[in-house]
Amino acid sequence: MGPQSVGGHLQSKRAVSARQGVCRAASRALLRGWIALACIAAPGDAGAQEFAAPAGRWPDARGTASGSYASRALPLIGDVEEAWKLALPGGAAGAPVHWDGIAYLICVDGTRRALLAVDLASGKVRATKALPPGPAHPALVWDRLVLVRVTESQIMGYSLGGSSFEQRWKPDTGSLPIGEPVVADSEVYFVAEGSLLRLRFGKSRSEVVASGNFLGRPALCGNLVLALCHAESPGYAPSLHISAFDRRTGRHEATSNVAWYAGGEMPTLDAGGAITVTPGEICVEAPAPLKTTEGQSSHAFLSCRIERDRIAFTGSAGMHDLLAPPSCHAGGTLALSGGQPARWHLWARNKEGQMMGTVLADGADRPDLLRHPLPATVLGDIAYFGSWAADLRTGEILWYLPVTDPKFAAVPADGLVLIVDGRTLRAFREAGGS
Amino acid sequence: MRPILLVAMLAAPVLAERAVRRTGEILEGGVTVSMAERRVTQGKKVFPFEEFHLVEQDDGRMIWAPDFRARLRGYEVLAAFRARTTIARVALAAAKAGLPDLAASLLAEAAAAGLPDDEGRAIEKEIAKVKAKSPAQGFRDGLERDAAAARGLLPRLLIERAQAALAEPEAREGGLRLLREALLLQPDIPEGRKLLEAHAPSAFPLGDARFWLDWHLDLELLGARTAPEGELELNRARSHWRPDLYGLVSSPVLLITPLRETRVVGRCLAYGRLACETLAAMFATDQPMKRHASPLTIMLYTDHKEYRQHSGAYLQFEDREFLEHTVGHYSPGEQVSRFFWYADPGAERRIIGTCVHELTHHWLEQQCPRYAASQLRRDGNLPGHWIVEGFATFMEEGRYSAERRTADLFNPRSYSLDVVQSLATAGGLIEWSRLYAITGKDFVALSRENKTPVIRRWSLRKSLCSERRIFYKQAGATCAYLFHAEGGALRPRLIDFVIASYTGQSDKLDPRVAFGMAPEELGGRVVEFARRVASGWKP
Repeated sequence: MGPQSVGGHLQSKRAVSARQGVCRAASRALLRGWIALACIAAPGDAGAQEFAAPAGRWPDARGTASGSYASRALPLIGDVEEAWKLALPGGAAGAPVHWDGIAYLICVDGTRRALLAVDLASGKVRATKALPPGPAHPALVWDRLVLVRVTESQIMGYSLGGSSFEQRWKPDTGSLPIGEPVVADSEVYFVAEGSLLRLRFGKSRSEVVASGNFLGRPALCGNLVLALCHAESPGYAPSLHISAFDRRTGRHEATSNVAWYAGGEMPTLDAGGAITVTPGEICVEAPAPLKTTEGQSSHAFLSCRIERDRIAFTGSAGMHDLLAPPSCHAGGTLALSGGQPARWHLWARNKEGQMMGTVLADGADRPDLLRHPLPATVLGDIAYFGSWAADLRTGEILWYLPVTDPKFAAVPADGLVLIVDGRTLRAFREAGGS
Repeated sequence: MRPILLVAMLAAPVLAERAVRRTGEILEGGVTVSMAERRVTQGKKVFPFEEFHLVEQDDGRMIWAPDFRARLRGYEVLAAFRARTTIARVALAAAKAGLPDLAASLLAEAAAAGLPDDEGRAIEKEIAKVKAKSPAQGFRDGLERDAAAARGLLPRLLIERAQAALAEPEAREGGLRLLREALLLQPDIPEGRKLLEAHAPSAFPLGDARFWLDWHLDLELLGARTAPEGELELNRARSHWRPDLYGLVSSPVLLITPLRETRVVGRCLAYGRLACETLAAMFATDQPMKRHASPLTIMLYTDHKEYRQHSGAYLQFEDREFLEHTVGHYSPGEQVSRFFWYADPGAERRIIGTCVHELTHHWLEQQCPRYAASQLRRDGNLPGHWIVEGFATFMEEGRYSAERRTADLFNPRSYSLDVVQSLATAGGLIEWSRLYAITGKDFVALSRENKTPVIRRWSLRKSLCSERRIFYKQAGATCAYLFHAEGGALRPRLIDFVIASYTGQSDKLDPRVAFGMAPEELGGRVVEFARRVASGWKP
């Protein structure tokens, strides 16, 4: 059965999810095993829920295609203990992704690469697939189809059949290098040589959503796809923009100028960059430093109003140097700012649209808390800050993980937190659980 | 559970109607259970017990479940399975009747409730085949009624099970939990409300059933009821304070409050009672002294203003000032504990902590069986006041579970130990020899100005502590050390020290006499203990 045939079914899930709304899902928190898990985000609804990955799924190293690092899994709030650990055959290329109880990650050891499927209940390897030598990119997963960039220009889809991976999809992505892809609703979006492209599961050819100077990692939010692009006009310094398109029609919805490049030159199109969409806020990780009134900055925030398939940019960019990608929280954006000392902030806009930051943790007081500058994963009011977690309302630290070398943001699963510690994948659960 | 015991006696395999695996799979038909071998068989397949949430008979009576949580989860899986298959069946009927919109909407609901993708696709194909028709409105209404009934299957099934469980005294707690889950899913379900009314104390307004049950659960768990023995206190409070008060007893605690925050009220009672039970176990003796039989009365005010106004009425003018700075207190003269409600993040736990703290003072004064009321001494000139506040702080920081009805007095996140280990490094602790010599009168003179910065391991935020607060924390940490350290060897001496303090035996209130250690040595050990706990030590 081709993976594309799932699309309609999933669309209908989305439709009901949108209709039922977040309240009903919340009231059924107890049933999260199947209901919350099956509720695909309803992007038009208010609140942070729609930016969050369902409890049993983490399709992308950043949680979702919105890049929000948010999850609807119930957070671990008591003492934690190790559930299992797994020695990896190399360094992980990114945070693990998971779908319905199976985690997938790519390990790299020198020129050797391997795709692993790990059973989340037992921590045992279900299957391994040797990959050709290539770049250390993380895997993506959607509807049990694991997407891997096997070369700089080729995406491949694998599915787990028993104890081995089967190649299920090999789309023609051309010969040009492709940027970091995102996946949602059986569609993959990425940038290649300045164009924003889309692949539908099961189709062999990609479609051009828009052409221009696009770069970096796009983001999906409801029916919108957002992408970074350069702009250069005669007489003006080159600047960074963000553009939004309707995913169904390809129609251009809006563009907003982010900022001018501090260096006065456009970075190359493979310079990276990424977008995080949160409720009311978009954070841009710039491919090159941006100009601010005080100097330069690596990240910019734009306030916006997002509906299901419409976006309005409502405020200018606030600029910050961040040590890790920001994440989404219902009350604003959680970000680790650089500087001396580094600080964890919870940013939110006030009524006048100004970004106001609450310092959650100050590196001057607690250097130990900022030793690993990883993005925070957000589960309601609880945030996993790499190797420790805190309640954002009370400032209480809930647990510390006994890890020494955490590499990526902690990944929440139902009843577990996964973290890559050096060359080990470790899973923790609430003490006394099974 | 009786059925379990009954079946456990049978060595032969028992026929079961269905079994729910932890994977979500449901085995139905041809299922047998061997209790002796702890396994479930269906055809040639054999599964160990550990793989199951529950195994039950045809009439829903349970044969086996590892614990209540698994049993509840098993019911949920079963109910969701039935709900989604019924909804999917109605979806198929709607498709065949030429109502693709209704069919698609129902299919999506079934999918959201976990209908496997392959079954969903099969129905989707059926929907794609049909052409839209306009069947009679009555037919359409009938389908929608069927769908609505299918959606309500889960809460109804939970209520059915709750009803059965409530009929068994041993399963009452589980029954209430099932009922609570059903009401969370569908708060207005008439069967649920009816069942709730049948099991609620009649004197208390039902209000929002869900919140009521939050409270009721804890209270029923502890066997509370509306309180005839507290009537006098309640009537007095109604005439002096306000008429809309209600009183609840969860023996030995009587709580009087106008608050309808049922969750907090219930938890204060539940945790208060747990703390009293824990104290009773700690101070148990073969020759108990006869103590006051009346309940420990708590007044829970709506806010700080009401707390100040009402508490102040019973105090001398010069004593009222402390009300500005406290979140609660025990009044020995009136034998009443008072504290107030406030709503901010984390408030619930702090309110419950205050409740346990004040009840500890209260219990030690009124109900401790190790001394008679006539032996009690309240002398502000006695040294060793640290034990009075320290012991209450230690009890406050315990980890209590109303649901499991357990108390764990070792708290690795104890605020006291955290403050001590932090200030021991950064500076700011009260000198230990001074701390252990402080009298009740000295304590009142301790500064309330928050000026010492404290960076705690268990908090993101730097806080400022007053000398008085540091006193509480050092005293609490000392009690934690004496209770847990050295394999519990010092615990009896700690209990004796508490008794000596409450009975005014000043000669025993010197750490050298009581614990065989100079104050500085005891303090050093407390610091060392706090550091060990911070690095993961457990008793």
